[in-house]
Amino acid sequence: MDELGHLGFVSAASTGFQILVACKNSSGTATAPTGTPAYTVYNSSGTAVGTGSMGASDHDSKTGLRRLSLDVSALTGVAANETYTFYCTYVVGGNTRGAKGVFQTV
Amino acid sequence: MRRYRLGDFVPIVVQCRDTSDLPASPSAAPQITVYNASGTAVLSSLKMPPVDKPTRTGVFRYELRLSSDFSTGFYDIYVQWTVSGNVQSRVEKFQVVAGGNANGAYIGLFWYPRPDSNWIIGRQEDGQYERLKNPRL
Repeated sequence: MDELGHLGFVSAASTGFQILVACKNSSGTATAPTGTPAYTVYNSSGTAVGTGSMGASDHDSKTGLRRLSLDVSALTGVAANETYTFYCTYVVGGNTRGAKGVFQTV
Repeated sequence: MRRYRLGDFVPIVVQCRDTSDLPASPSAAPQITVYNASGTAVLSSLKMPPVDKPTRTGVFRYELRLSSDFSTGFYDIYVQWTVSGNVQSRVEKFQVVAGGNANGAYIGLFWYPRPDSNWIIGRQEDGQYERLKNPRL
Protein backbone atom coordinates (compact mmCIF):
# COMPACT_ATOMS: atom_id res chain seq x y z
CA MET A 1 0.00 0.00 0.00
CA ASP A 2 1.42 3.36 -1.00
CA GLU A 3 0.60 6.35 1.14
CA LEU A 4 -0.30 9.45 -0.83
CA GLY A 5 -0.73 11.36 2.40
CA HIS A 6 -2.88 14.46 2.67
CA LEU A 7 -3.90 15.49 -0.80
CA GLY A 8 -5.17 18.93 0.10
CA PHE A 9 -8.09 21.17 0.94
CA VAL A 10 -10.26 21.27 -2.13
CA SER A 11 -13.49 23.07 -2.92
CA ALA A 12 -16.56 20.84 -2.72
CA ALA A 13 -17.54 22.42 -6.03
CA SER A 14 -14.31 21.42 -7.74
CA THR A 15 -14.77 19.50 -10.96
CA GLY A 16 -11.12 18.75 -11.64
CA PHE A 17 -9.03 17.83 -8.63
CA GLN A 18 -5.87 16.19 -9.91
CA ILE A 19 -4.53 13.06 -8.22
CA LEU A 20 -1.38 11.34 -9.48
CA VAL A 21 -0.44 7.80 -8.53
CA ALA A 22 2.99 6.31 -9.23
CA CYS A 23 2.30 2.60 -9.81
CA LYS A 24 5.05 0.23 -8.66
CA ASN A 25 5.78 -3.45 -8.49
CA SER A 26 6.53 -5.30 -5.26
CA SER A 27 10.18 -4.15 -5.45
CA GLY A 28 9.22 -0.51 -5.71
CA THR A 29 10.16 -0.24 -9.37
CA ALA A 30 7.96 2.06 -11.42
CA THR A 31 5.81 -0.24 -13.52
CA ALA A 32 2.85 0.31 -15.80
CA PRO A 33 -0.12 -1.60 -14.37
CA THR A 34 -2.12 -4.22 -16.19
CA GLY A 35 -5.43 -2.71 -17.16
CA THR A 36 -6.69 0.53 -15.72
CA PRO A 37 -6.34 1.49 -12.06
CA ALA A 38 -9.68 1.75 -10.29
CA TYR A 39 -10.49 4.12 -7.47
CA THR A 40 -13.09 4.52 -4.77
CA VAL A 41 -13.71 7.58 -2.64
CA TYR A 42 -15.06 7.06 0.87
CA ASN A 43 -16.64 9.64 3.15
CA SER A 44 -15.83 9.92 6.85
CA SER A 45 -18.43 7.24 7.61
CA GLY A 46 -16.67 4.76 5.36
CA THR A 47 -19.38 4.85 2.74
CA ALA A 48 -18.31 4.76 -0.89
CA VAL A 49 -19.40 8.03 -2.49
CA GLY A 50 -17.64 7.75 -5.82
CA THR A 51 -15.91 5.21 -8.02
CA GLY A 52 -14.19 5.25 -11.37
CA SER A 53 -11.00 4.64 -13.29
CA MET A 54 -7.77 6.51 -13.52
CA GLY A 55 -5.87 7.20 -16.71
CA ALA A 56 -5.48 4.18 -18.98
CA SER A 57 -1.99 5.18 -20.09
CA ASP A 58 1.12 6.63 -18.51
CA HIS A 59 0.92 10.36 -17.95
CA ASP A 60 3.62 12.44 -19.63
CA SER A 61 5.41 9.24 -20.72
CA LYS A 62 6.42 8.56 -17.12
CA THR A 63 6.34 4.80 -16.54
CA GLY A 64 3.52 3.85 -14.19
CA LEU A 65 2.35 7.39 -13.55
CA ARG A 66 -1.44 7.50 -13.76
CA ARG A 67 -3.54 10.63 -13.54
CA LEU A 68 -7.07 11.29 -12.39
CA SER A 69 -9.03 14.51 -12.61
CA LEU A 70 -11.59 13.90 -9.86
CA ASP A 71 -14.97 15.58 -10.08
CA VAL A 72 -15.41 16.31 -6.38
CA SER A 73 -18.77 17.99 -6.94
CA ALA A 74 -20.16 14.72 -8.32
CA LEU A 75 -19.42 12.68 -5.19
CA THR A 76 -22.59 11.46 -3.53
CA GLY A 77 -23.69 13.85 -0.79
CA VAL A 78 -20.56 15.96 -1.08
CA ALA A 79 -20.38 18.83 1.39
CA ALA A 80 -17.83 21.29 2.69
CA ASN A 81 -15.75 20.57 5.78
CA GLU A 82 -15.75 16.83 5.23
CA THR A 83 -12.85 14.39 5.07
CA TYR A 84 -12.69 11.91 2.23
CA THR A 85 -10.41 8.97 1.62
CA PHE A 86 -9.17 8.21 -1.86
CA TYR A 87 -8.31 4.56 -2.44
CA CYS A 88 -6.88 3.26 -5.70
CA THR A 89 -6.03 -0.29 -6.75
CA TYR A 90 -4.02 -1.53 -9.70
CA VAL A 91 -2.52 -4.81 -10.85
CA VAL A 92 1.20 -5.28 -11.46
CA GLY A 93 2.68 -8.70 -12.18
CA GLY A 94 -0.56 -10.37 -11.20
CA ASN A 95 -0.54 -8.74 -7.77
CA THR A 96 -3.12 -6.20 -6.75
CA ARG A 97 -1.55 -3.17 -5.14
CA GLY A 98 -3.09 -0.09 -3.61
CA ALA A 99 -2.55 3.57 -2.85
CA LYS A 100 -4.53 5.76 -0.54
CA GLY A 101 -4.72 9.38 0.45
CA VAL A 102 -7.00 11.82 2.20
CA PHE A 103 -8.46 15.15 1.13
CA GLN A 104 -10.75 17.61 2.80
CA THR A 105 -13.43 19.75 1.27
CA VAL A 106 -13.83 23.44 1.98
CA MET B 1 0.13 18.36 1.56
CA ARG B 2 2.03 21.54 2.15
CA ARG B 3 0.97 25.11 1.52
CA TYR B 4 3.20 27.93 0.33
CA ARG B 5 3.03 31.45 -1.02
CA LEU B 6 4.80 32.81 -4.06
CA GLY B 7 8.45 33.47 -3.33
CA ASP B 8 8.65 30.62 -0.82
CA PHE B 9 10.99 27.70 -1.24
CA VAL B 10 9.54 24.19 -1.41
CA PRO B 11 12.01 21.68 0.05
CA ILE B 12 11.98 18.39 -1.83
CA VAL B 13 13.89 15.56 -0.21
CA VAL B 14 14.38 12.06 -1.57
CA GLN B 15 15.96 9.00 0.02
CA CYS B 16 16.86 6.72 -2.87
CA ARG B 17 16.57 3.03 -2.08
CA ASP B 18 17.25 -0.22 -3.86
CA THR B 19 14.69 -2.94 -4.45
CA SER B 20 15.42 -4.28 -0.96
CA ASP B 21 14.37 -0.92 0.44
CA LEU B 22 17.91 -0.13 1.58
CA PRO B 23 19.49 3.30 1.00
CA ALA B 24 21.36 3.24 -2.30
CA SER B 25 23.07 5.66 -4.63
CA PRO B 26 21.21 6.19 -7.89
CA SER B 27 23.00 5.99 -11.23
CA ALA B 28 22.35 9.70 -11.78
CA ALA B 29 20.82 12.60 -9.91
CA PRO B 30 17.05 12.21 -9.33
CA GLN B 31 15.02 14.42 -11.62
CA ILE B 32 11.97 16.46 -10.72
CA THR B 33 8.95 17.27 -12.84
CA VAL B 34 6.31 19.65 -11.49
CA TYR B 35 2.77 19.41 -12.87
CA ASN B 36 0.05 22.02 -12.51
CA ALA B 37 -3.56 21.14 -11.74
CA SER B 38 -4.21 20.41 -15.40
CA GLY B 39 -1.43 17.85 -15.56
CA THR B 40 0.82 20.09 -17.65
CA ALA B 41 4.51 20.05 -16.77
CA VAL B 42 5.44 23.49 -15.42
CA LEU B 43 9.05 22.53 -14.78
CA SER B 44 10.88 19.39 -15.81
CA SER B 45 14.27 17.67 -15.68
CA LEU B 46 15.34 19.52 -12.51
CA LYS B 47 18.33 17.62 -11.16
CA MET B 48 18.57 17.21 -7.41
CA PRO B 49 21.91 17.72 -5.64
CA PRO B 50 23.10 15.21 -3.02
CA VAL B 51 23.06 15.95 0.69
CA ASP B 52 26.11 15.09 2.77
CA LYS B 53 27.22 12.55 0.21
CA PRO B 54 30.07 10.98 2.27
CA THR B 55 27.79 9.94 5.12
CA ARG B 56 24.22 9.93 3.73
CA THR B 57 23.81 7.39 0.99
CA GLY B 58 21.21 8.31 -1.60
CA VAL B 59 19.84 11.45 0.04
CA PHE B 60 19.04 14.34 -2.29
CA ARG B 61 17.44 17.71 -1.63
CA TYR B 62 16.19 20.46 -3.90
CA GLU B 63 14.82 23.85 -2.93
CA LEU B 64 12.14 24.73 -5.44
CA ARG B 65 11.55 28.49 -5.50
CA LEU B 66 8.02 29.52 -6.32
CA SER B 67 8.70 32.04 -9.05
CA SER B 68 6.38 33.64 -11.57
CA ASP B 69 6.08 30.20 -13.20
CA PHE B 70 3.55 29.47 -10.44
CA SER B 71 0.19 30.86 -9.40
CA THR B 72 -2.37 29.94 -6.76
CA GLY B 73 -3.53 26.34 -7.04
CA PHE B 74 -2.43 22.75 -6.63
CA TYR B 75 0.79 21.29 -7.99
CA ASP B 76 2.19 17.77 -8.06
CA ILE B 77 5.87 16.95 -7.75
CA TYR B 78 7.08 13.83 -9.53
CA VAL B 79 10.59 12.62 -8.68
CA GLN B 80 12.24 9.83 -10.62
CA TRP B 81 15.57 8.09 -10.12
CA THR B 82 17.26 4.86 -11.16
CA VAL B 83 19.03 2.38 -8.89
CA SER B 84 20.72 -0.65 -10.49
CA GLY B 85 18.64 -0.22 -13.61
CA ASN B 86 15.32 -0.02 -11.73
CA VAL B 87 13.38 3.18 -12.26
CA GLN B 88 11.76 4.40 -9.06
CA SER B 89 9.51 7.34 -8.46
CA ARG B 90 7.54 9.32 -5.95
CA VAL B 91 4.67 11.79 -6.11
CA GLU B 92 3.75 14.51 -3.66
CA LYS B 93 1.41 17.46 -3.77
CA PHE B 94 1.62 21.06 -2.63
CA GLN B 95 -0.60 24.10 -2.87
CA VAL B 96 0.23 27.70 -3.63
CA VAL B 97 -2.06 29.99 -1.67
CA ALA B 98 -2.66 33.70 -2.15
CA GLY B 99 -0.03 36.16 -1.02
CA GLY B 100 3.70 36.36 -1.24
CA ASN B 101 5.79 37.78 -4.05
CA ALA B 102 7.12 35.83 -7.00
CA ASN B 103 10.40 37.74 -6.77
CA GLY B 104 10.98 36.47 -3.25
CA ALA B 105 12.10 38.33 -0.15
CA TYR B 106 14.73 41.04 0.03
CA ILE B 107 18.22 39.69 0.64
CA GLY B 108 19.86 43.10 0.73
CA LEU B 109 18.78 46.73 1.17
CA PHE B 110 20.72 49.93 0.64
CA TRP B 111 19.63 53.35 1.89
CA TYR B 112 20.53 55.91 -0.78
CA PRO B 113 19.75 59.54 0.16
CA ARG B 114 19.95 62.01 -2.71
CA PRO B 115 19.06 65.74 -2.94
CA ASP B 116 15.94 65.04 -4.99
CA SER B 117 14.61 62.06 -3.04
CA ASN B 118 15.49 59.31 -0.66
CA TRP B 119 15.79 55.88 -2.17
CA ILE B 120 16.00 52.30 -1.05
CA ILE B 121 17.66 49.89 -3.41
CA GLY B 122 16.76 46.31 -2.67
CA ARG B 123 17.91 43.04 -4.07
CA GLN B 124 15.42 40.18 -4.15
CA GLU B 125 15.91 36.44 -3.99
CA ASP B 126 15.46 36.03 -7.73
CA GLY B 127 18.39 38.38 -8.31
CA GLN B 128 16.32 41.37 -9.39
CA TYR B 129 16.86 44.85 -7.97
CA GLU B 130 14.00 47.06 -6.88
CA ARG B 131 14.14 50.84 -6.42
CA LEU B 132 11.78 52.45 -3.92
CA LYS B 133 11.43 56.24 -3.86
CA ASN B 134 10.78 58.20 -0.65
CA PRO B 135 9.77 55.21 1.45
CA ARG B 136 7.66 55.89 4.55
CA LEU B 137 7.59 53.95 7.75
